[in-house]
Amino acid sequence: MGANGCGKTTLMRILAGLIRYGFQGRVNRNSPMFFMGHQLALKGHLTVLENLKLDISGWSAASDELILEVLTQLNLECFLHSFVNTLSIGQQRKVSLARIFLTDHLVWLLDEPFTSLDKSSISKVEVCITNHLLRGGALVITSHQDINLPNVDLKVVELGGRE
Amino acid sequence: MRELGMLEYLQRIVRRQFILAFRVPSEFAIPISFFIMVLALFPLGFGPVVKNSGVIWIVALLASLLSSDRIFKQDYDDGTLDQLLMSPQSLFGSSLAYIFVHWSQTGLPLALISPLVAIMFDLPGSAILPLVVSLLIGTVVLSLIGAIGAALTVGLRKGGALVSLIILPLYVPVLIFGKASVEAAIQGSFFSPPLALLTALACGAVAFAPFAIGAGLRISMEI
Repeated sequence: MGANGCGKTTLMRILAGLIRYGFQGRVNRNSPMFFMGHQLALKGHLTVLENLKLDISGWSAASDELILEVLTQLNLECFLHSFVNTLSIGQQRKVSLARIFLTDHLVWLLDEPFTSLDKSSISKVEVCITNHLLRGGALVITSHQDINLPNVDLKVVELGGRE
Repeated sequence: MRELGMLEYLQRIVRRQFILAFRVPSEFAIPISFFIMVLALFPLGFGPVVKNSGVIWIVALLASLLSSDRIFKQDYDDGTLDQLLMSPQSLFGSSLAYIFVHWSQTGLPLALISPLVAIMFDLPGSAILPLVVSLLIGTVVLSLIGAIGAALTVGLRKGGALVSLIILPLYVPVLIFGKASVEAAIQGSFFSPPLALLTALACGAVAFAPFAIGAGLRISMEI
């Protein structure tokens, strides 16, 4: 957690390996990681199903059944064949999150995943995150709000930022 | 859930890029329209018989240049490039998949309509085959070199002009050998030596450019 501009996104990008220079220290990445930043990595001219099936993060291939299952969990099943640019920002964010929920990655790096989500969607996403953690996964998450993950040991770090 | 193989991953990129290209046809149509319209201006400016294959090659080069700065731009803007760089799959292969789609949308159509342009420029029938083949091979090199410039400038807000300055000098050998093969055919001599050199350039570019593209993308993401 931390104020705007304190470096949360930069830290996430360093952890993801997208920034390699200009910081002190070393990041050892032994596990596959999945990063979701502020940009949702979705194509507006592809449907929800196409975005998920043709995802280029390149780790695994999800079946149509699994995609439908995850979308149903997020209340997006009726938008399966809708173009992403016809969805609201909150719905687009949920589609982007669905991409992560379809992977077997051990470590998820989520940069402010709850932005633009309504209360009901936030609790649905929290359930998916909790399930991932209970399966033995790890998570680094930045947020401006309190995160409610029952039965999960969450360590909160407050970033100081530049004075 | 099963693991994704390299070949399946490349098919996925190609399919995705083709679907996007057909759903937003302006990207795909601009280089071809530019090629035809600019070439149509030459007979108006220089008289009905221009008879110069160099003009066709220069316009093909500019048409390829016109679209090259956009190869990775949209993916950079929407965050897809982050996913591409974090992917466990080879960036060499992914870069080649992107170039293949770009070439299919620019170089391939230009080469396919070049016989019509050759007739418009009153080139002899013997020059049509070397023109098509040299454009088919040469535009592969143009796409690969263009992608290096695009990768280096993808993070810049107005990188288009910079791409032109970076890559235009690198286009010169392609222009020289491409034009030489067509001119050789027009003069009735062997056109295969310049074509062979153009093919060698293409092989070299396919082998090395994806490394430069990958490095360029990683540098750009640091900005």
